Parts: sequence; C-alpha cells; structure tokens
Amino acid sequence: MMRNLRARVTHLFLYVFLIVIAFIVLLPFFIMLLGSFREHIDIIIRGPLALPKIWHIENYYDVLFKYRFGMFFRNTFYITAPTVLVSLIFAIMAAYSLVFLELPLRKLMVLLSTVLGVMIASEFIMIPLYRLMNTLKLLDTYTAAILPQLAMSAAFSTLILRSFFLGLPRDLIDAALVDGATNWRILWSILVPIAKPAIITSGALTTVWTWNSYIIPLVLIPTPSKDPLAVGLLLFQGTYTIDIPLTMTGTVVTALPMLLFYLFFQRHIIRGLTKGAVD
Amino acid sequence: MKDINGGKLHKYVLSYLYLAPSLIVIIIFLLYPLFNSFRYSFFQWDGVGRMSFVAITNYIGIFKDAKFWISFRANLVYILFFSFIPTLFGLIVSSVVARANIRGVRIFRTIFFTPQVIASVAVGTIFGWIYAPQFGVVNQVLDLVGLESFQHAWLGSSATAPVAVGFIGVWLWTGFCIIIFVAGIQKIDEDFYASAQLDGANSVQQFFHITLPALKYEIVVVIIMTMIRALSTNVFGIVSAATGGAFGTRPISLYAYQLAFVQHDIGYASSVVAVLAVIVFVISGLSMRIGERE
Repeated sequence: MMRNLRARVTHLFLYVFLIVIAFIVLLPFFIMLLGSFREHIDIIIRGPLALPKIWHIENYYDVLFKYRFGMFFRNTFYITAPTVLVSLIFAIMAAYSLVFLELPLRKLMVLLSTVLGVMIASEFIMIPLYRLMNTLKLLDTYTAAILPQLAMSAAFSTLILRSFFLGLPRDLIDAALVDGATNWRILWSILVPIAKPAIITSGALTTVWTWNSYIIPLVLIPTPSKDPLAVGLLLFQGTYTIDIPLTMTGTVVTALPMLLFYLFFQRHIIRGLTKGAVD
Repeated sequence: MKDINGGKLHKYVLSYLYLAPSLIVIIIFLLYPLFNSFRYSFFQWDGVGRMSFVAITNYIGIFKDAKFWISFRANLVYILFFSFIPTLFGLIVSSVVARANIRGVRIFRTIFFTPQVIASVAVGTIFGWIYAPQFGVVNQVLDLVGLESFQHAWLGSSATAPVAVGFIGVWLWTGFCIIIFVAGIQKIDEDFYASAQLDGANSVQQFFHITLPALKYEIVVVIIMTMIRALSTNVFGIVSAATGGAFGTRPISLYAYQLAFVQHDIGYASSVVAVLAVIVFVISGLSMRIGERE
C-alpha cells in the first residue's frame, strides 16, 4: 500500500516534470500565435504577455494581401511541390539501380548519389550556384531555387530508399523477371507499393526542408515578388520591424503550414529525423 | 544485343539510365559548385572583373582576420548551446523518465519534436521578440517578478547576445535529445538494473555504470548531428532573423555570405566557405566511421 502510494507520487512528479518541459517547448508558439491577434499599441500599453482584448483577425488579411505573404505563400508552394515530386521519382529510380541492377562502379555511385549529396549544405555552394544560375540564365526564376533543392532532396531520398530496398529479398525481383516483367514494371508496380512507408518518410522530410529553406532562394531569387515565405518574412521584418503583431502574423503564415503538415505525418517525420532510432 | 557482350552492355546502359536523372542534378548542382567553392578560394575576384590567381593568400588572410575569429567564436558558443547542453539535459531527463512506464508518451514525443519543423528564420523572428529590449517577453517577465534590475537588451550587447542566441539552441534541441535517449534506454535489458539494485547500486551509480555506457552510440550520433547544425544551416537563418549578425552573433556561414554578396569579395568569401566545409566534412566523416563500427 505504502509502496503503491510512493510509486504514484513519483509518477505524478514525472508527469509534472514532462508537462513543464512540454510547456517550455510550446511557449514560443503560443507567444507567436497570441501576438499575431493583437495590435501594436496594445502590446506597448498592456505588455507582450497579455491576452488579446479584441482578436484582430484582420492582421491576417493585411499580411496576406497588403504585405504580399499570399504571394510568398504561392511562391513557396511553386518551389516545394515540383522539388518534392520530381526528387522522389529520381530517387526511386536511382535507388532501384543502386540495389537491384548490374551497375559498374556501384560503390562510387552510391557515394556520389547519396552520401556526398546529403553532406553538402547550402552555404558551401551558395557562391558558385549564383554564378552557375547566372550563366544558365536562370537567376531570379523558381527553377533556380528548385534545381539545387531537388538535388539535395534526391540524394537524401535515395539514401532512405536504398536502405529500404536493401532490406527486401532479391527473390521478389528475380521471380518477376522470370515471369517476363520489365524492370520498369517491377519498379513501379511491385516495389513502389511495398516501399510506400519509406517513400512517404522521404517525401515528408524533403517537403519540410524545402518549405523552410532560406539560403538557396535568398541567393538565387533576388526579386522579392518571386521569393518564398522564409525570405519574405525577413524582407518584411527589415521593412516593418516596428510592428510586432504583423511580424508575428507573418511568422504564423510561414510556420503554421509545416506545423499542420507535421501533425499529419509526424510518425514518418520523426522516423526520418532520427534515422529510425525512434520507432 | 543478341550476343552475351551486347546483352551486358545493354544492361549497363539501362542501369545508368535509371541512375542518370538523380546523378546528373547532383553533379551539376551540388558537386560541381562545391568544387568551384574550393577553386575560387585560390583567386582574388570581385565577381565581375578578371580572376587573378593568388595561391593561398586568402587562407593566410583568414588567420589575420579578426572578424573571422569573432564568427568562429560565435560558432563555438553555438556548439556548446546547440549540442553539448541539449545532450546533457537530454541525458538527465531521459534517465529519469525512460523506465517509468509513462502513459501518453506519444503526445510528449510529438510536442518535443515540433521545433524541428519550423523554419529557422521563423524561430529567429519569434525569439527576436522574446528578447526585445522594449516590450520584449523576457524583460516583461522580469518586471512581473520584481527583477526589473536584470532587464537587459539581450540581443543588443556582445556580452549577452551570443549566449542569448545559444539558448535558442537549447530550446530547439533538448526535446530531440530526450526522445533519442529515451528510445535508447528502453532498449536496455531491465535485468541489468534489477541485478544492480540487488548489489546495492543507487540510481546515480546505475546511471554511470549501465545507462551511460549503453547509450554511447546514441550520444555520439546526437552530438555530431547537432554540432553540424550549430556550424551550418540552423544558425544562418536563426541569426539572420534574430540579430542580423550583430554583437558577436554572426556565424562563419553568414560572414561568408556577407563577404560574397555584400562586399563582392568572392575569392576571400570562398576561402571562408572552404574552411567551414572542411570542418563540417571532418566531423561528418568521424560520425560515419562511428556509425559503421556499430
């Protein structure tokens, strides 16, 4: 009885402990969200922590239409969607070749198309990319931001898909080959349905990274009207730094889509981020 | 195509056709630019005029460049706060909660990961307000609890700004570390703890003799992963949004960006990029070595 009570108290204590940590993690999001519904003058008078007296939903209207976040949002979508879709198709094909086909120089190809690709951060290549896109006459287009992001995403997804394919039995392919199926058929009608979890994990993570990417569009798309949200948010800050609620509204517009996306795909995103260490 | 050699060649061509789309974009848009970053670093160049070869002059310049070393120091502070401190906190929290069979773990896991999906510029913007001198959240809280004398322009002086940015890293990564370590601890055989308890080992001794050695792999992976974030992508966006790089907060990556795109000193900027890339590659190489051993 006594033991039981002690165990319960310990349990309760641990819950409180975890809830406090969870609260600290979520606090900046609450601050952002509540701030976005207020008025700047209200923050000056009643301080940053007060609840909104009147919920200023019109902040969202202003930010989306007057301050062009609607346009930034559209640009982000135009950059993210093709990047993720095309990189998945490229990665599925590449991983198939790396695992199941007779590929001379396989080891080198694995290195080039996965490991090296994921090691290269945007800032390592930002300067030559600017020159390259200038030469290709692509500077200031969505394509300029898409191509490097596509390459990074393809490398990452190939890495994930390759390790998934390596775990599959070879007989699966050989049996289908004996039945006269072509590689193309085998890949798209046998392997892709099996690999769905790995494909969703790759797609979910590359979506988050592309949506949030900042350096590549900052360097390669100098015209603000073509920039995605991450760049737009800083441009807005630079121009209207005084207005806290509008800045927070812009931050919500930038961050909320990925927060919702995360709620839908959390299992896949966590598995991908932890390289399978969790679940 | 009918004879054996033709068939083989056909197969090879086919394999490369499948690999080609991915390989081509990676070579053109990642590897070739990376090669160019290193190549430019041996030239003096404003991006418009002629490139003149200067051998390792740019690299010698880095040694004498006080601004570079301020950035280097900022990155070291970030490594402490984005990597080591979250790892330490993660170890402490996970060793307390992991074996307690807590219900609702999934909800905590979901919450602890949320900072990972937010754009770093958004994170920097939110904390820019939290730390703001007037009407900022931290200063208001200090005011409420009667500690007005501690109010400060947190991002407005070299004494506090790098550490203040560092705390963003603690917020960003502690939850992540907790989850990785909890998963690791839950793989440890409960019998080890039971027999240690029989031998009279207290929970601190159990932590040092069972938990810590068992988590060796997770700890190394987490430290290296967060170190790379503290050196590259993570901090570029956070600092750009929170301080713009002022007061000793500018990381090497942002310094290189400003050298290249504001001062148009392409050659020197490339040498700074090259130094950063080499540091990150060495750390990544170490992590892969360790990963292979497991």
